[in-house]
Amino acid sequence: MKVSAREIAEIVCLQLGRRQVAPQDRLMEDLGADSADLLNLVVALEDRWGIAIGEEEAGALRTVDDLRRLVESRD
Amino acid sequence: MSTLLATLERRAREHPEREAFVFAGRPHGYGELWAGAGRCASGLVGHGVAPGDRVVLALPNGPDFFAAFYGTLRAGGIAVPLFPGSGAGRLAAAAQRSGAEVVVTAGEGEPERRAQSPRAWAPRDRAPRALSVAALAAAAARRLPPAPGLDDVAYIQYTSGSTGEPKGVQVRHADVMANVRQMVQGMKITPREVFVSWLPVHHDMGLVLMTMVPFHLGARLVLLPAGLRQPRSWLAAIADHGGTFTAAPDFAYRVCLRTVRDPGGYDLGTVRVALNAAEPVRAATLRACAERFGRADVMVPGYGLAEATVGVSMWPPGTPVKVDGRGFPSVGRGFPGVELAILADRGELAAPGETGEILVRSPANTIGYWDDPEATAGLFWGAGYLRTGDLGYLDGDGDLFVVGRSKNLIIQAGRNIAPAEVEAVLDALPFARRSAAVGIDRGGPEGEQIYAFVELAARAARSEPNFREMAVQAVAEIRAELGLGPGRLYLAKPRTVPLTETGKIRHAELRERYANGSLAASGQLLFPKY
Repeated sequence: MKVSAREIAEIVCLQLGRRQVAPQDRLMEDLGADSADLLNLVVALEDRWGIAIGEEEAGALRTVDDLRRLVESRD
Repeated sequence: MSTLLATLERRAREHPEREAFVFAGRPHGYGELWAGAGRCASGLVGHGVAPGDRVVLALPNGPDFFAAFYGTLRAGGIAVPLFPGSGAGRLAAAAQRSGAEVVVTAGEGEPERRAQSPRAWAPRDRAPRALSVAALAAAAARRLPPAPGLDDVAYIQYTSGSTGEPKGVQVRHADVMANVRQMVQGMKITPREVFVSWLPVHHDMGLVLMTMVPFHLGARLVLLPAGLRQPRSWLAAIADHGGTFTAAPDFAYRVCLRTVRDPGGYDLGTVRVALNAAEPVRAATLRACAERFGRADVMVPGYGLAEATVGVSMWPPGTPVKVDGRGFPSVGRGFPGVELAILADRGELAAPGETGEILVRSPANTIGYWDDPEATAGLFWGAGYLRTGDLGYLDGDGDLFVVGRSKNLIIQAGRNIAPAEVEAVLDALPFARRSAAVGIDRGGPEGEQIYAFVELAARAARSEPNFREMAVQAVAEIRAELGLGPGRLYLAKPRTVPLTETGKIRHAELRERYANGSLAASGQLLFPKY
C-alpha cells in the first residue's frame, strides 16, 4: 500500500500533539512518545488504513519513517 | 508502634552507612537520606511551614523526592506529592485545593517556572512559593518542631475520583504503618527482599509498597526513573541486583511481552513476586509472562486503592492463580486485618458469587478526603466499610474477583484519569463548545485508552481547513497538563455528547454509541475520519 510521508506525519502530529515531525525523528527520543503513545499510534495506523499490525512489528518501531514502511509493507 | 519517620531517624543514627536505596547506579545510605530530609525540614521551617501546613511536591523519582517528602513530614507538614510532569494548571489547582503555600520542584528550570507562571496562579490572592530542593537544603539550620505522631496526617494522595476534580486522600502516619505491616505479613516480605521499582514515587503503590515497605524493613531497594520507556532496563535491574520483588500494572507487563521477545539475556530466577495491580489484570498476561519469562506462579494479581492507603489484597505467590469462567483472575483474600464484603444493588451485603460494589474494612482505611466532608461521608458504608467504587464478587472460598468499576474512571497505562480532568483541559479551548472523555478498551495490547470528543462551536465546525490545527492543539494541551496523550481525539459536531436532563454527560451512552459505530455512521465525528 502506497502511503506518503506526509500522511504518516499527519497521524504522528495528531497523536503526539505536534505541529510538525520529520521522517527521521525518533518517536521516543526526539518526539517524547512513551510506550502507551506507541501503542496508540499503532491503533491509529490500523484504523486509518484498515490493517492489522502484529505485536512483534509494533515492538520494532523506532522512527516516524518506520511507521510508513510498516504501512507500505501491507497490500 | 512508631512512625516510619522515627524508624528512618533511628536507622540513620545507628547505621548511617547502611544502604537505603540505589538510584541511577549509586547507593544512598540512611544517614544521607535523613540528613537530606533534615536540611529540607529546616528550609521549609525557614520558609514559614508550620505543623499541619501542606507542601506540594512535584518531584521525579530520586533522592530529592525522599529528602523533600521526609523533610516535609519532619517539619510536621503534610506532603502533597504530585505527578512531576503536571502542567501549570494542575499544579496550581492542586496547591489551591490543598491550600499549600509552598511547591517543591526539581530545580530552577522548567517546572519551577511553570509553577510561577501568572496564568497558573491568577485565581489566587497569594501565589505559593516554588522552591527547589537545592534552595531548601541551602537554607540556614532551624529549630524543628516536635516530630509528628501516629494520628497526624502524613500526606495527601490525590486520586482520580468518579466525578469532578481529583480528590485528596488524607493518609495518617498510623495508616501508613498499618498498611505496611499488612503487606509485609500478607506477602511474607522479609528484610532479605530486594525491591526493584520504576513506579512513580508520587503515587500510592510506588510510594507505600515499593519504597516505604523496604525502608520499614531495611530491605534493599533499587529505584529506577519512573515510567517504562525501556522495559529492558527494568529486567536488567532485576537481573543485576538479584531482584526478588517488583510490581507494575498489567499494561507494563504487556509492554514487556511486546518488546522483549527473548528474555534469555536476563536472569530472572531470583524473582519471588511480580505483583500485577493498579488496573484490571488480564489472565492472558499472567499466562504469557509465565511462559515467556519461564517463571510460573510468580506474577500475582493484587488489588488496592488510595482510600485504604494502598494494598488491600493479593493472590498468594507460588500458587496457581484462580481464574473464573469469564476469565477474571482472582486478586485473592484480604491482607491480615482486612475484611472484604460486597454491597449488592439492593443496599445489603451480597451473598457469595453475587456481584456488587467491593467494600473494605481495614485498619489502614484512611479518614477520607481533604477538605471535602461530603465526599468523605459518601466514602463509608455501614460499620466502618469503605466503598471502593469497584465492582466485584467473593466466591465460595472468599477469594475476591474484580470485574469492573462503577465509576467512569479511565485507566490508561496504569494511570487513573477521571473524565473531568481531560474535559477541564478541553473545555478551555477557544473553539470547544463542550467535551467528553471516556475509556475504550478494544481488547488489544494497548488496553484501555482515553477517547476524547470535542464538540466544536458553530463557527469552528464550519472551518474545515483548521480542523487539523485544532486537533493538534487539543492533544498538545492534554499532554502538557496531564502528562499523557489520549488514544484518540475527535472533533465533533455540536450536540454529539449525550447529556442528562440536568446537563450532565452520559459517559456510558457516549462510549456505547462510539463503540457500536453509530457516532461515525451519523456523521457526528468531523475529524479525523478514522
